[in-house]
Amino acid sequence: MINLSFIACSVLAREVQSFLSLDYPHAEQLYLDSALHIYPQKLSKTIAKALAVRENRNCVLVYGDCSAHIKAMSQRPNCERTAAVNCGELLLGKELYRSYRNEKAFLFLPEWTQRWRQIFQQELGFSKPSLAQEFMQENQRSLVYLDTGLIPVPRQHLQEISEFFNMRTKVVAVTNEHLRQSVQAAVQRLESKNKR
Amino acid sequence: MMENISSSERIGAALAGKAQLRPPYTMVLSLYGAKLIDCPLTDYYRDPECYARGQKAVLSLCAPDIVFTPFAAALEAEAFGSELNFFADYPPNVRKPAVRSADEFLQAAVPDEKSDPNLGYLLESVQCLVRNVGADTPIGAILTTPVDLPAMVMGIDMWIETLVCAPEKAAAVIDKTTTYFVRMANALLAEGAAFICLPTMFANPRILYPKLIDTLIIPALIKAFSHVAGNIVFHHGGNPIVPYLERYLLLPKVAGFVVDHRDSLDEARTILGDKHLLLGNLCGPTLALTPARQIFEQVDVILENRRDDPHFVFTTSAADVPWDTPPELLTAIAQQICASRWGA
Repeated sequence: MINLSFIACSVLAREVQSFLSLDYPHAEQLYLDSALHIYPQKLSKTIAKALAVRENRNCVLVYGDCSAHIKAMSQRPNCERTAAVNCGELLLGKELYRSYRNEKAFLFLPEWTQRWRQIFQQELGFSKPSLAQEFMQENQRSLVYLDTGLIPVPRQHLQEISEFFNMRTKVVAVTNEHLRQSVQAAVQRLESKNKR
Repeated sequence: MMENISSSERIGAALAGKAQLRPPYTMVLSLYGAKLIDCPLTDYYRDPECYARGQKAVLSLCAPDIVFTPFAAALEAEAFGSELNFFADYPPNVRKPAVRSADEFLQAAVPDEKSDPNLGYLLESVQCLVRNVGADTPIGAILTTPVDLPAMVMGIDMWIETLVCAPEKAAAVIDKTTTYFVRMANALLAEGAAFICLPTMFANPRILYPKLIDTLIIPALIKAFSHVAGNIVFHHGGNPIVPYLERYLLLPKVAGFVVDHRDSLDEARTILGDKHLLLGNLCGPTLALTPARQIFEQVDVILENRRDDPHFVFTTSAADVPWDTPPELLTAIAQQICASRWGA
């Protein structure tokens, strides 16, 4: 497909980059700050702006249901989105994600893990560990780091996270296969859309 | 020291910080009244006269200094269209939310307290309580906050998703529930309620992350509370609130806070200073399961801890005292409080 652009959340930047240049060597890749996830209105505006300057391009959004407007944006004629509720499901696939969700596991992806202090303490406002611990322990039973194999497991950060939330972290190895298939499926849907 | 005074005077003294021989007290016995008069809950939560008779029986049993209107938020949800389950020995809850999304909620009509039967029941329960308990016992009217009501109408998961993923839509939903909340709160006060009691879940950092609470929830509550024409008592809603209590001091019209049984009364008072009422904190829902001796020890600990706190009101925390709590236990707790001597 010509004039193809991928607009992706930076939380999956390494993972997407690991196959995108192979699968779509001529496609443009744009990665938006994953912290925008905490400000859904800003996220919507940023994606909308990115799409607006690419009106004549075929765009694939590598995102889940991350903001209220993302569904409408991806329904534009030359746009599609990966079919998943969030980045966790993009990496794990529906069944495995659902089972982690049912087990109340909070999933840490590599990029957020490396900036966990910025995300939890500054952006989400958990300035006191006691508040963070109550929130996390009330809503989740475990912390799971998804090791996509593209960087060494950030053990120091995981230790800090464990201490901060007073919960043990578990490391689970995952491949990028589900993510890759999800991206490919979105491109195929876009091709079918263009043919209509 | 004040003796032989009415409950209204006793609560007034607590508000003013005047020393009393024993603390004012109450317990969450909204449901329990039905047991005392052997009234089916399908009648109790529909007929305000039945409810008031139940609360009259509560007064005869343990003479609390405050009685409450029905602690049944589900009835408000039903007014918005949610379907309820009724039980033999538990307040009704929501079986099926009225709507499935914030968009649907924004399209739905807001019930009118002048014509909706459930809202009419809640308002008439105040009237009936006033007739049955007189002016001597303050009536606390329980109402759902504008930030909690959407959870009852669209489901908790959908409301959390809306708050986290579409906060601008959540703000629009809260605007709508605020209009309803202010009308109902002021109508309850106009009927004779002494204060509005607000069990609040969705302002707690155990449920939502702090930044969302600070940027959306607290400002919304400030706006809603500022239009209430009387006193508010902020209730912990089932979670400890001391960790965030300082933030709640921003809320206007709040005369007092009911804290969780897990909250430290000392920490709560340090944060509140010497102006607000502090209410708590014997765990109500576990009374039927806890050995009596242990309960009396807990009551003693609480009373001793608050001996020098003239702004304290003893109450059970969390939801209703359960149906199967022995009535003699409640009488004994009341007697224990009345026999305690502060300032002695």
